Amino acid sequence: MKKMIECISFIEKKMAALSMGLMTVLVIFDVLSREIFNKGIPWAQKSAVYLMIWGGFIGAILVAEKAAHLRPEVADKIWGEKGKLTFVRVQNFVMLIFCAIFLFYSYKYVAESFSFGDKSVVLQVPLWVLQLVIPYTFLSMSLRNIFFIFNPNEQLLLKTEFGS
Amino acid sequence: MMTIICLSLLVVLILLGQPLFVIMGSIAAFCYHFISEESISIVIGDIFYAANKEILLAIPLFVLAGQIMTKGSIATRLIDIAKAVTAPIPSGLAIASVLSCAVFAAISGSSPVTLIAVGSILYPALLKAGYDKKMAMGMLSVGGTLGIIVPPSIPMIIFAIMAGVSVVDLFKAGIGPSIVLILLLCIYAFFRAPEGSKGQWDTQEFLLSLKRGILSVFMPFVILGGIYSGFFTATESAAVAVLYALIVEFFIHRELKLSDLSNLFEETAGLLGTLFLILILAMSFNKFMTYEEIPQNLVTMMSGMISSKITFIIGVNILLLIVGCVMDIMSAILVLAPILTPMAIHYGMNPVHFGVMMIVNLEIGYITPPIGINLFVASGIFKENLSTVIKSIVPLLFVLLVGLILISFIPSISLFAV
Repeated sequence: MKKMIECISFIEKKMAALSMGLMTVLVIFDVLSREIFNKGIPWAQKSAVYLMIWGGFIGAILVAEKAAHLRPEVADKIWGEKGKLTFVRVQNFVMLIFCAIFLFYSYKYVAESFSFGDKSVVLQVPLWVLQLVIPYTFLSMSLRNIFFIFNPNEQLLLKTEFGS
Repeated sequence: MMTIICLSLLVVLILLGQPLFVIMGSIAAFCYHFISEESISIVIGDIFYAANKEILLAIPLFVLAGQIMTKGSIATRLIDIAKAVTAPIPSGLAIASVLSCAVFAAISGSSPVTLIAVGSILYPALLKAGYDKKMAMGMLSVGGTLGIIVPPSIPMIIFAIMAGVSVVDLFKAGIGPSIVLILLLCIYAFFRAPEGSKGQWDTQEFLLSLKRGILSVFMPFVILGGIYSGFFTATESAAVAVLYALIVEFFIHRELKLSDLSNLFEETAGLLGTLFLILILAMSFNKFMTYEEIPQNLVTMMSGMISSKITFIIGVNILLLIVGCVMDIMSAILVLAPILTPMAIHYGMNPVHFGVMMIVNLEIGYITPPIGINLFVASGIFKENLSTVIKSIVPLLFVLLVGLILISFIPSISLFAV
């Protein structure tokens, strides 16, 4: 499972970087075009927003992989040293339930968008293509949760940025 | 009954150490499903709608600009200029550290990064120049917090989105309070000047440092100038900041290679990912609250208890100072801005002024235990235990509180430029 996650993670990192890169290029060109030629690129800002959405969601997966999402730490000490492994398992199990529920409903949402044939007004691209990243994010995060439930030590070994 | 169950769910999730996006999403889903009797799909619709906003582009772009600019030796360049400028003033080096922190923080947009970059260079220099260890530590730790009030600032963008105010207005309103806080810290440093801390003006050194660092110093001025003159929107200014940073680091300082770009984009996606889910889920919950008229009901409830604007300002400052001690700034803004802003408006406060006041309060949270992140960073880089760092902060905490009082009760400090 670790190998599979590493492989998925590699692809996700490249996708996130690509989304951010294209987003940056589009916004810069749009601004330059508006300031120099007095005419912006009509589809640039909207495309950049969708790229940011993809980058943001995939970025959230990458943060989940490092178990570095912002979270309250008030109760961490209650579990003590001995309870650490159980804590990580319970924590990831609850996250897994959350991700599973959101995966189900986001799949439903995208499926509805597909069946209604909704399109982006500016880009004329089917919305379900752009929304697909939502169920994918919850699916991919669920994989990380399952991995940490069975390998809690791997999460404890991570240099976490909790609460930062 | 539903409210009690909802609060219990919140407590359980906190006790189980759940990420903030899980807490926010669970509460939003619970409220929509059990209180509004709607499908959870509505939360998904909300988050897609919330994410689909041009203004959000400013967040990753400013983060990226900060990432690019802080890759090179910008901290050293800024410090050299600040040192050259402040050399003839008593306590010049301490004042230079405040100024370096302020400019670096405006560029990097991160308080801990500022503390690490400027602190690791200036702390040994301050000790060598005869400054008291506690004063040196205190000045740098507090100086690092200026990043969130000196525009452009990500917390300001988040506040603007959550409270429905203009980002540009908030950026403009941040200028006055930044100057007040910088001045107060410089005055404190001036009066705590150790013997022989006054140097001599060296024109050659000043010009040399200016030549090396002028382009780094110039960046916040380009952004602020563009925004202030109405030439750029917030998103445009973020794009210009990235372009400027790329030109400076690639072609002038030559400290960035093409191969570094992929990593920078990846890191930006990660930093955006930390915020993104929390932000859009908070916006969904915010929509639920507006739909159920919760902020309005709270305003009605509060107006029975708090009679005047002054009492409100005092009360909300105390609340925010406590919140700053136990919550990180982004979470605090996401949760409290939609609730407190309507109250502030009800008591006759300008929402932009309220936003600035809220951010200054939460800025103080960076250096207050138990979760003041700058305390832990300072303890790490200065290799001192936490209690020593906390003791070094105490006098400067009072300086910041004086600043907070001025900013809270004199709205024109924030609003003169809006």
